[in-house]
Amino acid sequence: MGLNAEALFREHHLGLYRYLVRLTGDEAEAKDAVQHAFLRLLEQPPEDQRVKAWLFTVATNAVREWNRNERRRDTLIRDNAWRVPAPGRPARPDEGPDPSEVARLRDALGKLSERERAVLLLRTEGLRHREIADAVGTTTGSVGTMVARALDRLSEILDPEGGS
Amino acid sequence: MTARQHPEDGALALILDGEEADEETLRHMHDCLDCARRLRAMERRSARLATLLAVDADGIAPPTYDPEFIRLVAPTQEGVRPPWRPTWRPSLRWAAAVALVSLVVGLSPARAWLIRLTGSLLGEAGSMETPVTSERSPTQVLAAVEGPVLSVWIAGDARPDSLVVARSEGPGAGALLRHAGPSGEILVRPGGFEVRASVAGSVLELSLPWAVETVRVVVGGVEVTRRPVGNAPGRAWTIPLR
Repeated sequence: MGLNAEALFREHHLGLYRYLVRLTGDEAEAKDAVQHAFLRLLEQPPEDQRVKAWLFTVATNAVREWNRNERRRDTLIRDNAWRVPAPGRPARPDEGPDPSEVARLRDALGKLSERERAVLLLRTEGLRHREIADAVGTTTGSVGTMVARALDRLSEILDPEGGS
Repeated sequence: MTARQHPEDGALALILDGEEADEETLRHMHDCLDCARRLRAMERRSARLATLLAVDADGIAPPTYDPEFIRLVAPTQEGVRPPWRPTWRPSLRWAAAVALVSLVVGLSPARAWLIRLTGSLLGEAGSMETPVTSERSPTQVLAAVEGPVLSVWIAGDARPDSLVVARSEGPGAGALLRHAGPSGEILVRPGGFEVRASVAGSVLELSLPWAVETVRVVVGGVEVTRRPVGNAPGRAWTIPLR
């Protein structure tokens, strides 16, 4: 198979890493999962799957597997809220969202279940519903429902007093 | 599905995401203003999430991947390998070998040869040997310079408290690098230049945007050495501690 791992790495590693940081709230774990996914790519490249979706699925499964035994993810999120690195640079006030809104987004994402968070983040990364279903371990038909529900929940958390 | 049987949110999400929706839902959407509003609201929530995530992406810096991983997956990936992670392996291996030999032979002719070599490099023959008593275990510090990259190899379990890498003038003069822990990273921005070093085990890596002239390493509160190093590839010095 003519798989160019380096090109794929260059193309996908950062998006995958950001997804995993947001999913887990843990930079070290995110980095490990990225490495795990790309090493798996070298060992057992996908045959009939889009590589990007495959990478996200492998990394998501790895994170879930790592956390399954200890169940530390729920504890971490419940006890410590949502922690991701602070923004490297503040958004310009005349452009885009208020930085505090970005911070609230992180909090809000942390309040979703891991599966809801994964669905929303994978969707934002451009994965199709079928691919999202593979990644989070559900049926394709239920992804739409999960997307709608997660968007609703996120909106409620961001705007508890209403609005879209 | 009739006009009164509005599709569930999940079905709207299929339309929103460009997934395959059933004909009945599409027909309903065409005729139902309420559902069109629902879809519009969902679209706004989705767009807002995408915008916030795009802004937030700036706050998540790329990680420093493990060197072994990079070698396997992206050996020529300059854009990923951090600028502070130099291509120093040959010099490190060479330096480590020299350090090991000198550790084994102690004051043997090999060591005398090393001293002469380094002394001649520095223009101060004989003064290179600067035993320093450390309260910690015996430590061997060795550095090799390869172009703009300085590699410092430290045997034993001691870690540098601070490390000064300097040039006599211009950017980077007197740059102070503080050790950040056994597996930490050193970062300083002298004169607008960024100098980074990473520490992994007994290996400390440095990448500098300018040629090295002087290096001073402090281990366990004791100054190990302060030597001009030069910047010719492959040159090295050793400082045994007793």
